Amino acid sequence: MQIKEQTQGAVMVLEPDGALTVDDAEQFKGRLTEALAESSGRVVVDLSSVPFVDSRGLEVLVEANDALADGGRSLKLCGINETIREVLDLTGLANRFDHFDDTNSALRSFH
Amino acid sequence: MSESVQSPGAKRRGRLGPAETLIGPILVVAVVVVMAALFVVGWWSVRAERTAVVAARTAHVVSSSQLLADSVHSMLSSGDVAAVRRLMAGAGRQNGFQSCRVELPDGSILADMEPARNAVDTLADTWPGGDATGEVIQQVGDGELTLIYPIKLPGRGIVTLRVEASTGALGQGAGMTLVVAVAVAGAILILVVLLYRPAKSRVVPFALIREALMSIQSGEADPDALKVSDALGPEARVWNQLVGQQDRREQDKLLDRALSSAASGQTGSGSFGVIGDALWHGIVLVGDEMRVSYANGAAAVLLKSSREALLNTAASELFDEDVISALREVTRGGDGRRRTIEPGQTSEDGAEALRFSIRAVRDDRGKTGLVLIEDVTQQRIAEQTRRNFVAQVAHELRTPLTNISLNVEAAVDDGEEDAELRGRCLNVINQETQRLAQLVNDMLSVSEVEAGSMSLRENDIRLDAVFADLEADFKQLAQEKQVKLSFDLPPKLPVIQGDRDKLAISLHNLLGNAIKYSPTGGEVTVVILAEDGKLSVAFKDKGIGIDKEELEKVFERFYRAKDSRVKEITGTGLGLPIAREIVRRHGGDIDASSSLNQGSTFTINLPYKPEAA
Repeated sequence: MQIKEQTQGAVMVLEPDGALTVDDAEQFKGRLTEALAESSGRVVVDLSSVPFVDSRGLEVLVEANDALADGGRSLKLCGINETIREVLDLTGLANRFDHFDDTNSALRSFH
Repeated sequence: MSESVQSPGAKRRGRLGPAETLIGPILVVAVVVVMAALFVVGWWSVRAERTAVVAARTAHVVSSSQLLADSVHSMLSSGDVAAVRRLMAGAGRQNGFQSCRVELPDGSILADMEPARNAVDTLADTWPGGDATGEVIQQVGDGELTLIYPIKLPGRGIVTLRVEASTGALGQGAGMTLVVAVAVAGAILILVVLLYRPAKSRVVPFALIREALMSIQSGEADPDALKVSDALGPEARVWNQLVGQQDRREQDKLLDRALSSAASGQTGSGSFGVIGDALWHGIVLVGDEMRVSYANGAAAVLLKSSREALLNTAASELFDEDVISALREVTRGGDGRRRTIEPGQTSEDGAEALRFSIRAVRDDRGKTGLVLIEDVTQQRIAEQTRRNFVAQVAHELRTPLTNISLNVEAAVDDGEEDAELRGRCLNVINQETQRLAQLVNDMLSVSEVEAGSMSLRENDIRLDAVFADLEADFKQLAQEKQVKLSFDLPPKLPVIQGDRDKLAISLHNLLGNAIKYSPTGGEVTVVILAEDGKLSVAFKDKGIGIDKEELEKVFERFYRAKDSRVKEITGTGLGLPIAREIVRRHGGDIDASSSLNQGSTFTINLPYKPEAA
């Protein structure tokens, strides 16, 4: 899985390309964990190129969010498509994350 | 401790007084009843025994007397007085009679158990008197039995056998039994009196402990109320120990709970900890000896540590000298003092900018310094970017304005005479005006992108016209820089749907960059391919190139490569992000490949719906 990375100011934007499932989710988890550590939690996950997530992918997002929660932070997600939105709503996880329409809105939340 | 233990015990003992004092009378009554019963039983048995003995004795005396009377009759009938006297002596001793004798009617004794009393030596042939009825007389006295047998000797007269015997001979034994019974009762009484105190001291603690157990059941929990006097014996002491242990256990439990609650306040699981951990800003409390007494989760993140590791760490290991001296200052001074340490202005790229606000707070342990840590990295970067942008914009605006100003001046001064000069001046003014317009457009685009308000108009885009315009627009610039600009167009270009003006901006930005960063005499090629609904426009230059690590960053707003050659070339760092944003809005993307000093290729990939031209 290809994970595009952009540093916007002090914020790291991770844009995984492809479905967040099984092995790809593991790979993304590793990169996300690194990014969170490098940037003190200033990370935006752009899911606009992710068509869907499975349970492992959700787990990765929730784990990252839980790790951030200890420091008063939460995972900022943007570019979520309808499918993923439905999954988050159905699993009751939607409220755990900060949602933004696009990267810029997410970036502004760090100001 | 023993005092406090005994006094409630005494109190409790006082409360139990009635129960305690009842024990004595109950014991005494019990003993009396037992003794009375014992006495009655003894008396009754003695009496019964005595009656039986008397009856037996009487029967024995009667039967032996009858036998004696029969023997006397036969012996006297034959006139053998000597035999009668032997019989009397033997029978009297043998049967234990008190007296036993044969009398003549005149009262003279013919034969007695005591031979000395014999008064008549020989038996007369006949004598008068005597009871002729022949009835046996039985006289019963107190323990005495007297039997009188008249014996008729035919032809001679009547003699009398008189037997006196004691029937209460065994009464002494019965008396002994009574004495023994009384002695036993007395001994029991003495024993009771002697045992009363020890028994009482044995019973009282159990009664008190039972009472305490009952009050525990009814909800009493005060150990002082449950304890009994230690003086009541080992049971009481053991009981008190148990109560004490239970009390200590309860207290330990409370203490543990209090400690864990206090500790959780420091580690973040208590209510204060939960609040602290929900905050975005870091909070560190620095207490005695400048050591950390509390740190929330955000502080751990910002200081790149963990809460556990931060606790008790010396403040000097976490903060730099400015913060430490501010901490010292606020904790020395009065409450409410505060200092704020702004992050240094010269912070490196990527380095975190933390703002420390220090103020004194007072808690139970004395004066404590509170350090509020704010992550202002993003603000700093944004501020820096804005400053750079403003400076850049000012520069960008000033350059064409200066040129315009100079050329206007020249045209006004000398333009009337020199038509050629006037033409040159107007040309420059025209170029610079376009440059200004471009700059303003860029800035507007950026603000649109920033605000998320960029909208696209859908209209037909004739690509051949677009590229023709593009070539025309840059022909002059390329000539000025002596860059060879060539377009590699397919024979037929489609008409696509999209926002023509916006796409034109993208193309302008990419081609402008390609020419701008090409050295004089360089070469820029635009290769256009349109196949299977995919349009690709590649801008290839042989310029300075971009370092691999920076390749993705060039799409960031305001980013400009660190290459020193880039800094000599004017630019806002806005062109590429705007171009990419526009292409992305059209469903495509811009890819970049480059190698340093070899040149770069920026390719627009755009899907389109083929339409009949």
